[in-house]
Amino acid sequence: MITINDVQFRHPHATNAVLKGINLSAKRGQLTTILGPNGCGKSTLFKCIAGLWKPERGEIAFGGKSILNYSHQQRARLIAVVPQDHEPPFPYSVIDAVLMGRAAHIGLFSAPSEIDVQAAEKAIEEVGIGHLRDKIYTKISGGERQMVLVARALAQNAPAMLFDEPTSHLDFRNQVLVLRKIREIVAERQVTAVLTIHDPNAAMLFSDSVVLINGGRVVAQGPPHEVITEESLHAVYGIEVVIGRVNGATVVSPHLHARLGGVQ
Amino acid sequence: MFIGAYQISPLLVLKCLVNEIIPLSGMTDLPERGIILDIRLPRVLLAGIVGIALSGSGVTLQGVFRNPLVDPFILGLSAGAAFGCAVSIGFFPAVPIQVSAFVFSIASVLLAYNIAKCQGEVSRLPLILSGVIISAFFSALTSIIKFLVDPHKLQNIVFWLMGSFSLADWRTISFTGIGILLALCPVYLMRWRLNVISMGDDEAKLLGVNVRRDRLIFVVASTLAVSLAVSVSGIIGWVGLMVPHLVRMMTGPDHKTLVPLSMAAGATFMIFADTMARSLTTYDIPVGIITALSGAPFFVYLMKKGGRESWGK
Repeated sequence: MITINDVQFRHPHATNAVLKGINLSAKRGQLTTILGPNGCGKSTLFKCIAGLWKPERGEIAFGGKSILNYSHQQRARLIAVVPQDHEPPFPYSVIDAVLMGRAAHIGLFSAPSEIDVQAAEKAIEEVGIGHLRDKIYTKISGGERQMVLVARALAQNAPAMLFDEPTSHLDFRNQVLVLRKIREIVAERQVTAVLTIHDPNAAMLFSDSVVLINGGRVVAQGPPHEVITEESLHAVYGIEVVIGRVNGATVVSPHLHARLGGVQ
Repeated sequence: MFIGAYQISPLLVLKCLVNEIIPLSGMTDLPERGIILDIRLPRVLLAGIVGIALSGSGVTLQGVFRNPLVDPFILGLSAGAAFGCAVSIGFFPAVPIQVSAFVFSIASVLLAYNIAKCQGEVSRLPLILSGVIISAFFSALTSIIKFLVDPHKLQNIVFWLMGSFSLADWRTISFTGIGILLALCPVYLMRWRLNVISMGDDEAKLLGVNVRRDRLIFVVASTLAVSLAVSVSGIIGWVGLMVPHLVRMMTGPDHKTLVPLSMAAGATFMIFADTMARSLTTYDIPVGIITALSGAPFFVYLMKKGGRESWGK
């Protein structure tokens, strides 16, 4: 379980804080999504949890223990991070890329052992990309690459997982496939999963708990249908939306005839 | 070792070498023995060791800086060494060129590192930038010295800068050889981490790597190795850039195999280039010219053939 208590963050030399006292908790075996508009601070919060940036105030804890002063290696054994799509400088093979997830378990002067290779291969199978094992990582599709990054995080064997907008570069089909796979993994491995996302619909469909963030503050946290409402989305995104039911699922749609205002 | 200005048959070379371990009859005072053991063997060994240093550091720094176009001289090392050599030849003949070149090449990298540090945590781009700055600065200083000294000394400086193994002897080999191999030990042991570091600072941190410490180890180790190599051989370009490339094209980018193979290929290529340098003409051509002359066309050929594939484009 990840708990975040009154976290405040300010960029060096900046006058305004990006995060103004964030409180939230993410439970084991659940997918908690952080939803919010551009510039609301969700990426900043993500970097703080991942340990890349340090909050100026507040507490971030895993299982009741503060992780703020952990080394990168200690943290990587607790939290596996799936970054957004990226382009590595060298054309590694998929198995090489997944093996990198084992870095926190491998000594400074060692290379991956048979155990590490097995863990990586298991992760690849678990994500369902066994056929890609020896493909060149830079030459597979964006959706496949995202799956490789998920496999890498699985190989890390950490009790918590963070996903940074895993669907932002993907097409419609791959968005669904990746999010469904993430849900499966969370249920199966019983990890504590936190995911940032843009799309209220995806948050509604796939998450157990939603944290709605705006202007560096948490607006609401709870089950998706309680947090994502016509009123809350209007307050946060500044546009009129309609929430309806299609095929048993709740969907969010912008109200096209209402005034949308300028692009923010 | 049977190639050279003085004709010695391969069989005799073999005999000379075997004779060192198991004494053979009739080998005591052949002139060939001196040529083989005191001139050619040390020269070949030195070329090999320098090749290991240049290529090993090249592949390391390419990984650390996530850029396949990086060479071992990226942090201003060669410009510092050149300045050291020029100072020694031009003004302080009492100080051996090797010592002066070594000291100044280390100093230039230290300076580049500290300039990059001004911005807080040392990261990739400022480091490369400050390397460029330092290179330009020391090149300018070297030019001033070249401008001031008399033509004879100028010729010496220019010759040294082109790189050569003609001064190889057992003493240089034992000293630089051990130094280079020791310096490259941590690189060899930590080579798998280069994979992770090459994914970028943030990602490597997320995967649990102490990027700052590991990068420092890699940079220090390669700087030491290359400084030692440069101090005995002059500035030999191309090897550190090209050999890791060639190996990467052939075996793929996994540093676990790439690092040792690059070192081996660097040694092979250097020995080959030096053999050409000393045997193509009656002069001892600076080996730096050979590496560039033979390297460039071969590189173009490889790029045309399969380069794009293995660069993942």
